[in-house]
Amino acid sequence: MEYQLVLDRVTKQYGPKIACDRISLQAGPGVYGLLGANGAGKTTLLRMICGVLRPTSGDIRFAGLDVSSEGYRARLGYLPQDFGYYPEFTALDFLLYLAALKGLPRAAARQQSRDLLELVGLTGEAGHRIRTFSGGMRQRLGIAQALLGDPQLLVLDEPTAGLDPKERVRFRNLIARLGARRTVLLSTHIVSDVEHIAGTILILKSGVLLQSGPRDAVLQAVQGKVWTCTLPPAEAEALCARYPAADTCPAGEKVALRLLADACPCPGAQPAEPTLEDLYLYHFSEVSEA
Amino acid sequence: MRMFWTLVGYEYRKIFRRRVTWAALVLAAAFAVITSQINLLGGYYLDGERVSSNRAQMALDRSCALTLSGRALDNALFGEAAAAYAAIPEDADLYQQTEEYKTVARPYEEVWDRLGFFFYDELRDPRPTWGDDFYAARDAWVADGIADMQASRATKAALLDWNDAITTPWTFRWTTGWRWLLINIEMAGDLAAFLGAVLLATLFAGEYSRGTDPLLRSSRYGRGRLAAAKLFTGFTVTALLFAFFAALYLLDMGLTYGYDVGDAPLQLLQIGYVYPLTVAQAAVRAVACGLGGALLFAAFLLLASAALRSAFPVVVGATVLLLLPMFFDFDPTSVPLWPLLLFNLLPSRMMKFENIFSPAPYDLFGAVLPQYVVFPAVALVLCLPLAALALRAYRRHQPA
Repeated sequence: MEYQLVLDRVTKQYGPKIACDRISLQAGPGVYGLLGANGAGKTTLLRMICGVLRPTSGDIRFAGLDVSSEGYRARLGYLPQDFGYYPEFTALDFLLYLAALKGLPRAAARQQSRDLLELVGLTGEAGHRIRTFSGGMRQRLGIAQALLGDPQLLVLDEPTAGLDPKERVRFRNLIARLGARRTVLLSTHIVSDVEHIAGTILILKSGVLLQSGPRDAVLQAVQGKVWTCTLPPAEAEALCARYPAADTCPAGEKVALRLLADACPCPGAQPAEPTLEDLYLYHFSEVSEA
Repeated sequence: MRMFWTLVGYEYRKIFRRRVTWAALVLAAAFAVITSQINLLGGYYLDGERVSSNRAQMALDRSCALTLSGRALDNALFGEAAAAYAAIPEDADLYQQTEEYKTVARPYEEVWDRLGFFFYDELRDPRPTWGDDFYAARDAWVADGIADMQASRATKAALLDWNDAITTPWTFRWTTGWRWLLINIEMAGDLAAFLGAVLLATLFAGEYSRGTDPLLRSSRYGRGRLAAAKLFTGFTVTALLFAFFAALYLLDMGLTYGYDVGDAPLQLLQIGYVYPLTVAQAAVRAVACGLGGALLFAAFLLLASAALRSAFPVVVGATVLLLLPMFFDFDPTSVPLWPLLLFNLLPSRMMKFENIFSPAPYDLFGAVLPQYVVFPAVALVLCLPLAALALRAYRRHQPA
């Protein structure tokens, strides 16, 4: 049976401020990368999807179940941004506790907890108290708890924060595998985390879902707007003040630039294939807002 | 159901795995034991000269009282006590320094002390009817007090009926141990409540401030069963704390003062009390009231924890709720009764010995019930809606 996450005009309002504005979405199995700047409404949206926040209006359902139902939460795995923990619990205690909250029988909980600790590379720390963990270790533990119960809907808010490059690659590979059979919603600032694994990109800005679609489709917004050129430093600085610069790096005595512009920004500039980072900059840079 | 107990187990673990929990328990136990001994510290002075220690004096009081234990406080015993007192020279500066006091009157001090409540100036008169006169004087004094109360007719009638039901003559016993136990049951309740505030304020509010709330709230049982497990934990931890401190005081007072047989009337502890109870019966009822008060306090605490965003204001508010009412004391015979009765339904006031047994019953539409019935009943009844409100507050909580 294919499970689908359906958001129907979901809105969250705090007084006069609209954090999420009539967001509608249908998400079946696959990985969905949610991109947005700070304050775009990503965490608010994910919290509503996980039932932590109540929408001001709109519906959220998964597999036909309303977000407020126990059955919905039974199919959900969630890694919040900056999640809390119990300092005196060991890593295994923490997973067993969350497994109990997810309704897993004791034997299955114990087995899954050990398997997941191995998956995230924390087998040796299973009996250690969480207060002794580094930030990266706690994040890995958080990923492990999100996977308890083999959830069909996995929501991960900034999951790679605090992970070293090796762990981030490991995590990306894991998510890519998981996304084959389940709906994975992944929110991040790190564009490279989603660039290669997300089948669908969602761009959120000021609470509004600006774009949603496969990578190639969303990149159409910046097709023909990405330029590369090499200039003397003074000219390069002047151009950077006028256009969003996706990349600047020294090239001998000159500076190589990658810019966003509707038209050719300077003689000699060459059009370039856009990337997701270009798209992010296009939507969220101060120049584009102006 | 098994899952519920598993979740309760984890809540207990969250509380009792913290080092501060055990430190607080040890400190509170030490406080309980030390404060219970304070009035026995120091010396007993006569005319500026230390003649004994307070502890030695208490031991002497006990041994004297035990020689009369079990005897009826009747004409014979009151007569002996009056005669013993009459043996003390009238012109003695300090009667405690006289040989007559030490050898003759001392063993009867607890008896002629009570007789002296009504007949202090007449104790030297030989009278064969001291017992009859004592009970008649007391009944008249009690009746006058009841008549002056600002209470309903039904209340006054009930108080007189209860007073009439007290069996006379009273049985004399060494009641100091019981007295201190009854007083310290209030302290047991206060310690359970205060320690409960420290340990349980984080039950809900701690999840919010710690950032674990989104994880819990998004899990299958994170709203219903978990909240019920937290409430259950809150009430049972409070009950266990109360049981611990009550048992500690029971042992402490027993070792310090000793307990005589508990069939002495409550009136030996406080002459104006009208309920026909023995000290042992009163102790049981005091425990019920103390436990009720502690549980009611826990219910307010859990509601505050579920409704507020961090534990600090919960602890502050709980401390105010516990301590502030203790600063007010009212004589039920001299103030309008109903405001006092409502005030006495606050948790810390329900636990107080005087509030439980003073003549201030509740007239509930003609049915007059004593406080030791109303307090635990009201506590249990109020716990239910407060717990329901706590549940609702937790479910409706939205992270900032």
